[in-house]
Amino acid sequence: MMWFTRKRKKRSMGDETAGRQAPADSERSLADLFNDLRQSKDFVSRDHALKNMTVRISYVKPLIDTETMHRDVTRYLLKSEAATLEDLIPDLPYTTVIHTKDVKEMKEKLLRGYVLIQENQNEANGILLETVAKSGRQVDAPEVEFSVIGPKESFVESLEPNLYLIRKRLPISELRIKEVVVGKLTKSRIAVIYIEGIANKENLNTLTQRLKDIQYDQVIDSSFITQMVADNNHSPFPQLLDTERPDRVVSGLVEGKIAMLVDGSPLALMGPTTIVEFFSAFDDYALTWYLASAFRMIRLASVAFSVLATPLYVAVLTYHYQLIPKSLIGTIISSRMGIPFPPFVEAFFMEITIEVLREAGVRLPTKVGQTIGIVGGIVIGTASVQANLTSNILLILVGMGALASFTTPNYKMNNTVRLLRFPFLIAAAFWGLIGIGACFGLIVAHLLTLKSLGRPYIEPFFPYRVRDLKDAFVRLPYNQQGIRPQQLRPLDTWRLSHKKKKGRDIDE
Amino acid sequence: MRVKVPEDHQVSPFFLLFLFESVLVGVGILGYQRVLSQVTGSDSWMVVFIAGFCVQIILWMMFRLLERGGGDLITLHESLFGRWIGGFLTLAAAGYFALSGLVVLRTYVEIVTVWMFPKMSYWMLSIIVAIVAYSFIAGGFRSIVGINFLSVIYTMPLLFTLFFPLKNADYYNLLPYFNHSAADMLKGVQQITLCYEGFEFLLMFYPFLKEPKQARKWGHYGIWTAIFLYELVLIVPQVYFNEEELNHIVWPSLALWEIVQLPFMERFEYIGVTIWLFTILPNLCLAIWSASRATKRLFGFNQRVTVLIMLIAIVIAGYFFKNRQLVNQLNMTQALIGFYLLYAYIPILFIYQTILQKVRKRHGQG
Repeated sequence: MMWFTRKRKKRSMGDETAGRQAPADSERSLADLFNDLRQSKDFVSRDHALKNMTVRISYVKPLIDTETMHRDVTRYLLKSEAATLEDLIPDLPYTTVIHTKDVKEMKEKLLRGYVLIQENQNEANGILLETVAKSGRQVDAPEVEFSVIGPKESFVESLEPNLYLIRKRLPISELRIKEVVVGKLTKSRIAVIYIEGIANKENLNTLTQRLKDIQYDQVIDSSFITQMVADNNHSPFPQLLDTERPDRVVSGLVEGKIAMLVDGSPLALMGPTTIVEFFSAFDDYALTWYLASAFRMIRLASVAFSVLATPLYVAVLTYHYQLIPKSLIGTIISSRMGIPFPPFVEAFFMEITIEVLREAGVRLPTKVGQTIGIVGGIVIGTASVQANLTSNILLILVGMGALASFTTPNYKMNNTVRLLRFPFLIAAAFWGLIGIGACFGLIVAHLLTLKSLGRPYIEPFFPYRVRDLKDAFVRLPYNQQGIRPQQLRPLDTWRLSHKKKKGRDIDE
Repeated sequence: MRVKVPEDHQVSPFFLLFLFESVLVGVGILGYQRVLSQVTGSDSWMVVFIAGFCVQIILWMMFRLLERGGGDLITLHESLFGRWIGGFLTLAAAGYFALSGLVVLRTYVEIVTVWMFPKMSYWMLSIIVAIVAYSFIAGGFRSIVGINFLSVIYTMPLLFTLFFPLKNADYYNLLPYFNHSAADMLKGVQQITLCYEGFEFLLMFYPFLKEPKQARKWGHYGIWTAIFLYELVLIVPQVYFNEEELNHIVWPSLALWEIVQLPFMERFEYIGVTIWLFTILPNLCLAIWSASRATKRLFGFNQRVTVLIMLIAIVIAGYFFKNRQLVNQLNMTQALIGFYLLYAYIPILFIYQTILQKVRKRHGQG
């Protein structure tokens, strides 16, 4: 039994460090580390003679900023009269100098852009100074979640500027940022952000637990994380809200959501979320409430149209032509006259064409993409009508459907909406309206059991919570939004101090 | 012995309103007007009320039974009749639940075949409905409550279609009152029982309610809503068709949809029958869920498997009811069993439990 427990123990110890480092190299010596690093040409390690001692300076060249190093490190080293490493520390213009004897830490920091200074190159004793190269994109205007009014800032690919964008909007001490490192090879840093006293601890624990359970070698982008921590990773519906807008993250945090930023990814993730949030845009909060509500309704209606238009066309023309009123049937007959295919084949090919156009437009460079879109859309459309391959009524429906699907503000949800119409289309071809009904039933059944970080995904509708409907189909005015969404189970429910204003009578 | 259900599988009592409303409004509501009209004519609206009132009393008894029994039907049977007889009775109840599932499925497929797809095979349609039903039942009781709730929301727009026939209504059709005998009325009450059946599933899902004491009032409200709907759907065809016509229309509620005229659509009944899928789904799901839950509690079977077996069984069983007469007979048989279950078995259980508890109490004191 002994060997068994020992083995278990060893493995569990390995698990603890698995997130940070592979268990095998935790016992490595300094010599091994240097041997390893010297295999690459960009590793620099050289001796420097100071006034009273010689030190060895090592760093990975591309990761550090050479100018900073010369300005803040080398210059002061040469001036220093220290004889030991300890005496050297006060001479350096750094507030935090890491003095360590841990090889593991040295390795980690060296590979994150630190400079290692040693007295004796064979002794695992050295100081680490941060000289990270700060190159990267400037903060730019959002491209995916564009809004006409409102802030024009979006996240970039490094963690620190992103955290700054959030911090500067929330200057409170309750803002908590926890770091988790994920990915065996990429060692991506993930910042988990929440507001103490508002965010529910249960949500936070769920998320951190799932992050720690991730076993994968690479985490390149936050979209990897979405799929890895999702409650149901076979679902076509995204279960964490992704956004490139810091203002949206902040408003989510204030509601009691938990946000995640992945180093190297310009998209933040937020959860728990509900399906309606994927259809809300920043403009919904910038306009007066009834205007905003009207536009949101239009958006939701266009999503429904985009999913159901072609399936309904196929179902009605194949099985239930009695539904068409007398005045309309003439138009439809004349437009479909001479078309050799049944409605399903006709619709299916048109939908596929649109998807191909879209896919090509995305892959091509921006300017060419636009041309292809216009030329392809118009030319192919007109030609196929003139060649009697498709009816122009269907062409209108397919075009409108594609257009309507782009009103979805969230790119991931947009993909879901676009793909959802194909099962409907097939069901409509086989079983008409009943097929559409059954398909809808299956999707509702799926949505009913779907969860986002353990919270129900279609929450304001089921479980039915009237209070959360204030920001679902319509967005009520801000003074009606006094209560934070109940789906998040916030610790502090009230946004406003809830004093009731007395309605004023005329002439008072 | 109390039945413990983990809290995250329970639902709040408020949903009982929707549960009862959607379960009571099933396939029955599509055709009860003719049956009633044949027996009680213009007095039918009173019959709907009387039957509704009786149902409220039975529901009250059911709540008392379950509260005192502290569990579901299985606990009740076991404490009243012992393990063997109680178990046997539960099995019979499970059979009845599965039978009501069969009635719902077969009748709906019949309606779809007659109104939409005369040529489509029974298998095709019933299997689609069964697959959708399975996907809901597999999500557990909460998911079934979800489709109950959503079905009420989805079918609400159908109420607007009741305005169209009113343009040509003749309100004198509602007269005269009180021209039927008490015996006729009682017969009417028996006829309409099929419509009011469905709330007996409460016997199975009672432990799934979060605060059962609170649930009572929502349960009664749910039945009131259903009574109101039945009155509405009875009176509209009564004022549109005259009595002679109504006596010969098999599905008056569907016939009303034929009158709907919209500028962009004709023959509204196609849409109506499709949306009706979401009204029968809760019934079917709850019936099969109750039946499989009973076998699970009795024998410890895996519910996923039993649900699948039961759905396959009712799809196959439905095939043997090949024509309209047989389907009708199936409906009548189930209605009759349900009638005796509600108006005879529940009161007997209630009285028996009261006596037994009194005796046990006195015995304990002596």
